[in-house]
Amino acid sequence: MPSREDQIMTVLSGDLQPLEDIHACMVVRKNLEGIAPITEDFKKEIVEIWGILKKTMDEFFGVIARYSEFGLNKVYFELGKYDVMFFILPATDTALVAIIPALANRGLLEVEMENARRKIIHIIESG
Amino acid sequence: MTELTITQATEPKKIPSEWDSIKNNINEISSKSKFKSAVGLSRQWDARKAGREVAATTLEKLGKKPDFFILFSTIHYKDHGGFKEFLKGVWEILPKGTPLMGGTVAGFTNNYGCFTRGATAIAVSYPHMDVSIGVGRDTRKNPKKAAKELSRSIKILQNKSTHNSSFLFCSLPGGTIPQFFGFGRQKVMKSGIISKLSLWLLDLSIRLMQMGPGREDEIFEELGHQLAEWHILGGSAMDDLTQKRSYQFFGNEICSTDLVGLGIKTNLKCDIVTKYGLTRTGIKMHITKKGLRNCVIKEIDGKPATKEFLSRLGWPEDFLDDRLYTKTFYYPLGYTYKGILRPEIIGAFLGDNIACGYSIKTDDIEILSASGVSLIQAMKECADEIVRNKPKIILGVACATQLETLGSEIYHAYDQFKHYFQDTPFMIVYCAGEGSYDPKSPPKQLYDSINLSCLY
Repeated sequence: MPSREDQIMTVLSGDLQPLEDIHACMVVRKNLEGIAPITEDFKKEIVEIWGILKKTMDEFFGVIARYSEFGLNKVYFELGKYDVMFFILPATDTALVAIIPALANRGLLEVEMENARRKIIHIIESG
Repeated sequence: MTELTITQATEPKKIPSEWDSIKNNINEISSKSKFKSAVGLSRQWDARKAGREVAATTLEKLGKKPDFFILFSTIHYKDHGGFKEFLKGVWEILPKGTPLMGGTVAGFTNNYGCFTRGATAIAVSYPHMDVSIGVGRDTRKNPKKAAKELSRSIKILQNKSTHNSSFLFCSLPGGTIPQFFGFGRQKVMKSGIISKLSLWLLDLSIRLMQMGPGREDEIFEELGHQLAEWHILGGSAMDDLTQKRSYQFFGNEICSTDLVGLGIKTNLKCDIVTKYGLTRTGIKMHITKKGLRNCVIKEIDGKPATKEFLSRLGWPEDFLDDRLYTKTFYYPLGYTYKGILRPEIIGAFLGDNIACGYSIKTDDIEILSASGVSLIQAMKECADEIVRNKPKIILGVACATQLETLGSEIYHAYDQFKHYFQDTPFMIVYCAGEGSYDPKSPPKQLYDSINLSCLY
């Protein structure tokens, strides 16, 4: 039986990362601690701005940690040519995060993000 | 119950009306009990594996040889093996000769959830049903001819079937954004030479490359004319909303410019329910100049259409960027024709011109508005109304912009569908346009609507 981490990694690298508009995805908390495919697997477009993206994302985890227990469900921000989506795992300081192009069809991607979040919650709960 | 049938059958003259009603009830119960349907799903990335899996999961649940197989997938298999491989996979499992139709869609909702990647199918086995599939070629070149071709194949059923109820489900090419030579594929073009040339190029691309508006309204007008006694529901095939291409499935053939349909004659009844999650804003506009078969608004009240549209909404002109396109999903245009509200999604801003998905049949239009709440409410009302028939199977066609607008909130609609449909097999596909007709309602091509059909 694969570990929970391996199962979550399979969801990230098997379900989300292959989608053309997902430049990077991960399940992380503050300081980007958590589970993420290796940075080399991220689409090369974001590598050059990864530093600033990482810093901005980290700021949001403070908000997530503070308000998640009150039902904070999703957070978005737009940074230049990119959108970052946080799908928060209920009542935790951790989120499923995806970086997508600013003009991607976000709604369609959200549906698959939600499917991934549901799978991850199931993996955590059944572990 | 069987013994009762035999005994009473010897004395039909004594109580004819009562006997007839009992016999009809027994026939109805026994025939309906033989109705079997099942929904399948695949989330495989590989085209061949996905084809095999979607067929296997459907047939395993059905447990019988299917009388037809409706198949939809997202566009992803184009780059993961191709649709030839996808259909090969399906036919490795599906019994040879099974009538199959379908196409590519932006996503789908079925008994298992909501998906914007994967494949789904629905199959039915029922003895009191005659089925035929048909195709009409080159819809953009000659939509009327394509509709006639499909109708001809479907009408064969009318001669051979003894059943009264008629239902046609179809998939047809949706509107695409052509790539203008050297200028890429853009949904928002600011003023400039290319936007001025764009209408001429768009017209050219329809004729030469079969790209551009899908002309679905002309197809449904003709289908309604040809198949006047039928219930007809169709969805425009599409990709992941980039609107570069779409595919239709017909037997083991992959089409990209054709209308495909499945005709059913049965002793079951059918119904189609249509709802919009739209409200009228009261912002009315008078079109003073149209172009490209009335698909393009050139002037509103004598002023350039794009600027006037922005001004009526109180939006500044610097809103005119690529993000404007998705903002307009919340503000479609609409007009009433033959008593039916016809919403129009804005397809592209081409300089001063607003390109719409199908021809605008009046000169007066109104800006409508949509919200997440109103869209989900419409889906709930549609589900509530269709289940009053006690359906055996539900097939739905909804606008892909609703899926894009709702995003992950589509699961609120799914919860409603599960509540109303329970274990009834259902499949709702999100398309580039929705078309329908029934003997009590005129042919209509719509956007931003949800349409549920059922056999009951």
